Amino acid sequence: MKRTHQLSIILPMLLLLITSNVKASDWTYIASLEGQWQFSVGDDPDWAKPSTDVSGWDRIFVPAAWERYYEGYNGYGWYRKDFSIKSLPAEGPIALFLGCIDDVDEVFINGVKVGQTGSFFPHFKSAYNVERKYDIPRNLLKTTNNVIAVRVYDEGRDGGIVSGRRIGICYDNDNSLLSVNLSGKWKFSTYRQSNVNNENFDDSKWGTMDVPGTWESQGLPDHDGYGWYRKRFTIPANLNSQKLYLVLGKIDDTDRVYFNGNQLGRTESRNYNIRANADYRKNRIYEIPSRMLKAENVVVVEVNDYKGVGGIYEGPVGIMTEKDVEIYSDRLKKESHEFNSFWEFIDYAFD
Amino acid sequence: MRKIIYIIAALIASLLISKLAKASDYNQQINIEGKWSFKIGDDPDWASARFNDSDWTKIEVPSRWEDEGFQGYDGYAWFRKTITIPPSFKDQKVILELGYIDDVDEVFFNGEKIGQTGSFPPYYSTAYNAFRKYEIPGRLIRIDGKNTIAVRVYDSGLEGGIVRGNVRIGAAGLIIVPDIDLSGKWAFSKGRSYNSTSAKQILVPGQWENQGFDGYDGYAAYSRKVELTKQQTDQKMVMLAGRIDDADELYINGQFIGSTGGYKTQETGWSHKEFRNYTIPAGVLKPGNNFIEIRIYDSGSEGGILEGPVGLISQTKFIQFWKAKRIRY
Repeated sequence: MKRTHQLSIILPMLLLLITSNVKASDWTYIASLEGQWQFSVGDDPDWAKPSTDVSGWDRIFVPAAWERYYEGYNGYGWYRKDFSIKSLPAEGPIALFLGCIDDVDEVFINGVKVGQTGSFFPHFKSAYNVERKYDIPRNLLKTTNNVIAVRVYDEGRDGGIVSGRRIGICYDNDNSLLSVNLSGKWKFSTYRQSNVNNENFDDSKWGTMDVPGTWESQGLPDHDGYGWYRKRFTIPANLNSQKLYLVLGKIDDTDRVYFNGNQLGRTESRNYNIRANADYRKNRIYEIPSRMLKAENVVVVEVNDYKGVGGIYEGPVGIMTEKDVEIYSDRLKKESHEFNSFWEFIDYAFD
Repeated sequence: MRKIIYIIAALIASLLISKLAKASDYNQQINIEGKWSFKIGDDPDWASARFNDSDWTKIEVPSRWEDEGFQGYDGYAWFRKTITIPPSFKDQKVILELGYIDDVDEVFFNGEKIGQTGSFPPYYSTAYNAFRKYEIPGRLIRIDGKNTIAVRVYDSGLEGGIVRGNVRIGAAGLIIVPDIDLSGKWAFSKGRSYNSTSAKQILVPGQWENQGFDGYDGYAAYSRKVELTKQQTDQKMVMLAGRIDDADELYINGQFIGSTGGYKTQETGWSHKEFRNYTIPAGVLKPGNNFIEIRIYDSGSEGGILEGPVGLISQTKFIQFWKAKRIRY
């Protein structure tokens, strides 16, 4: 009886959710690039140059597998699009999102290479399941007449800019709320070591990892399991008297956070399915007790990734004051909810 | 329970229908059943397009030759037929289907060998239960003119000949026509890279199992020479390497160009379905002789360059082809 009762609530809600709209949270478009692009099969370095005339090229929709237009096509293909910028924010990072590209890509804006994911021949390496995000130097962008060119190589099956919820150039709205921005290079290791949480632990031999960003996009293509992040930073004197929060954006999948050697908090649901399928969607906000605060501080984040991509993958990452955290939380609450899995929904519905 | 049986029955029916629909996947076809010229015996001259077969016996195809007046005959025999291929077949993939042949056959189109199934004595191996399907390279087809098909058959015993099944020529859709067609004879050797001392001749496209390498799985290499003019090497070229079972690596003049599937890792599963288009970096092709080597890893069952087109095409023409073939909505 009880079972029937629960289902009668869940089912109509699930149906409702199918129609709920998708809204980008912290990343706000300054140029959406979804829609018609110009496209040609083949490969030619000149196609990266804005001056190269591509008016004779076909037009295809992005995102979609190019097989939708060119059945059975494998090999090189180039995408080109002209775009304008609505308004360029005064500060903060600007990023280009291109969703998943199958298999390898290289991106040029106004003739300048801004990034690459995967590897072309002779050392081919597919990155078909990596969501593309590239940092864009703001001085590269003009108000009008910008040209983006994407060179793609597809080994087989689906090819091209195949899917993505966010295709375009965005700025991080939430970054302006950070009093101390901690995005950038963090010390990183995948080996379990004792005393790693201790503020005096020597991490000088560790490598680095960009935050936010997935491990998979930074040289660890198949890493599941644990990863440890460490960051040392100072807090400006004018913030000392305020109540402060550590914001870690989104982490795939679970995390335990240590601040100057003390456990600050964790996001790690008790139910395994929720931990593995829903925790990665949660926004991490940890209050820092004033007794833990020092002029120089060390944050350690132990991340456990169950499957797929992992790491501190989405910002904002840094320190916020109470006033800004309220603005940030309100903004998050306004986002419409959208669920990728049954377990995300269950976690939300019964939270 | 009965409901489930109905559902299963419906599923099976729909599967069968889709399978049948697939069997006639040609936009047009020429039925070449009926009377063919036939002669028992074996003579390499009979493959020639110019050979005069007017005094040969007329025999019904498909049929068992035992039913056509050759009761009890085992051994070699040849079938010949002259056909006209209409202009609508131009630039299409053209497939010759010969149904089931008992036991071994070798097929010539306008005098050039296009394929073989089974193996002739002294390394005899029957293929009586294999459906014969051969791709006719576009360069061999005389559009709107006379074309000769010659089929050499060996029967080891019991019924013999082109015994049953559809016998026809089908047009399977627009095909990219290379500037330099590389279908035909290649050199072939087993092993990780091409070894000229142990090399044997092989036809491309076609599975190696039917060309003296029955049951062989693993690594092998195809090699051939192609002579190019300066005018050709000055353009950007694409190597069409066809559909390969399973994974491959392409080398031109000793330089690695590209790879598809898990050639090194031996992880296969999808790559045998894909057609290879390799853009050749500038400076690799040289005027004069160029050496092409396709290294293949086959994880099991049929292996090799199974389907064309195989050849070189300028990138300009390559782009034009895909623009023309684009699906419009």
